[in-house]
Amino acid sequence: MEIEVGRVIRSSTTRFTVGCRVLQPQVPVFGALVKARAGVEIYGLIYDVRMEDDPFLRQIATVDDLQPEYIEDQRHNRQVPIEVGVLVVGYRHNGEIYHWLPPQPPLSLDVIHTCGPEECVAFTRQFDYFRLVLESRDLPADELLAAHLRYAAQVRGKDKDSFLLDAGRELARLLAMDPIRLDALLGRIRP
Amino acid sequence: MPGERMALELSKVIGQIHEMGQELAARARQERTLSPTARDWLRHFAHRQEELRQIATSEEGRRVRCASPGDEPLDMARPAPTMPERITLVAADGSQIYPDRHGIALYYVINIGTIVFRHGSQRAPEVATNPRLFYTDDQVFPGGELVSGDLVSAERTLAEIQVLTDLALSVSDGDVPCIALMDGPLLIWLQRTNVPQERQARILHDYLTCLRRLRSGGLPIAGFVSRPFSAEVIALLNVAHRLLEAPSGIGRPLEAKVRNVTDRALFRFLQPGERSALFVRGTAANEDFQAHGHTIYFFYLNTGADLARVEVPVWVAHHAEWLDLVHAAIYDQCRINNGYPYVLTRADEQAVILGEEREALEAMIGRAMASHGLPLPEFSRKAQQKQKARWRKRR
Repeated sequence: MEIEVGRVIRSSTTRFTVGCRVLQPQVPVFGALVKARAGVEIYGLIYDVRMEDDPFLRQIATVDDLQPEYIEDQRHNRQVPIEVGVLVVGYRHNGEIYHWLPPQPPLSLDVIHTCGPEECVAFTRQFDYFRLVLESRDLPADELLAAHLRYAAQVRGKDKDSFLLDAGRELARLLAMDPIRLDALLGRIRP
Repeated sequence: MPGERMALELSKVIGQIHEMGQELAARARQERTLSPTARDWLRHFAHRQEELRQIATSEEGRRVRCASPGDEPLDMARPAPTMPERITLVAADGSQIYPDRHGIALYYVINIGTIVFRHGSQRAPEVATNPRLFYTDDQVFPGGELVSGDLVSAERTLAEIQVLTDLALSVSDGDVPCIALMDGPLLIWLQRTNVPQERQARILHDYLTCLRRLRSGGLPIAGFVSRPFSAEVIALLNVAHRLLEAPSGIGRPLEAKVRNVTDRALFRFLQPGERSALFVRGTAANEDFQAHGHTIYFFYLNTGADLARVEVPVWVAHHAEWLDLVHAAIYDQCRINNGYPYVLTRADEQAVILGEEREALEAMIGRAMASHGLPLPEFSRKAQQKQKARWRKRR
């Protein structure tokens, strides 16, 4: 099932930011695979969910026995939009999935959806996009990839373990020069 | 530094700033010395409401525009009543873009922000804005003269109460008590403003119509004045002191120095949540309100962080249950918001028009003008030259 995350408010070829109103239990989730339809379907991983503060909010936060209406007001009416950071990991064009950067970024106000299990399986059949994640060193890249892989394994049901083993082999190849990093990452996705 | 331009040369005002500090300190000292005396008077006259009412309506009382007491003891301090479990607060506040004859076109904007806050509902409040653009001949050249800032302000106040009235009446369902709240005095004062006579009459009429509708709908309204500077109760005490016998053992009248004590200093004995006795506003404008059954009363309230003045019409002042609702709800809202009602902060936040929003609006107006074949609109030469010259300072 696809769930709407929000709409693009800023974008570039490598990353984009989605604005959404409130946090739902299912979305947006760290590591989730999402897509934007912008001629081509652009895939990305949610790497950040950000709520900004301001002096008003900070002051309200210090109040004792705060009534729920104030909290709801700050969350639903003032904390808008919640900013969701997405790292671009590939795209689909004419039915083909590519694990490299799309020719164009999504446009502002494009709607972003989560990907359903089938689409997630289809996108993660190959691992060429790992490099795009691992090279984003200003992000918690390893945590992001691990969270994403755990989710991608989950939707595979009984094929979960073999998927994680394959992913682990690919990581071992990519991070052969950095055994400490590799070890930490494998520890996070161990079946 | 050569070439540097500094419009306000701070070095040239240092002396004046120093003197200002001295002056303010002297005023504060005077206030501290005089307010206990004023409080003695308040206690002395506390139960002589009838005599004071006569004084307030006497020629002298009307001349100084002093407050007139209600029936409560003048030195009363009433604690905040219990907040009901459910109550709906509806608030409105406005902002405006004043007309600028050096701008791209003559227009003004009034934007009213509103909030419906359902205390006890556990639901997010509903917030909204209500912008209006004024540009017709009649709007920007009322009576043939360029619209004044005073008129825009008066129209804004009217729009505030109109939007507030419509909204409050529409959300009030009879099951949950509801109050309407405005920022600033409920008593509007148009006489000495730069507003054409017939406009004054029309604005007042429409304003009073709102109060009538609220009264008919059983919906109490209040105006909240943060940091009031008025001294109408002090003025009353002064006249009373002069016209009635001087209380023994109480200090000499303040008279000449009276402006240095405000009602706020007088009522500083109120504890957080407590309100003062009710008084009737002494301003001349209240006569128009009185004539229509909406005499404006006020009380002072310790909001927990400051002393505020709350204004209510007579039909709220004389309705004990409504008055308690207003008292309890305003204090509850102030308690969590640094001494100012939360709903008013939020209504203002909705209403405020930021610089970049104004620029976006002007760009749209410019495009609309161009699309109707008008020459590309531009600022006046004066505004253009100012912008150029100020560019360096803005960097």
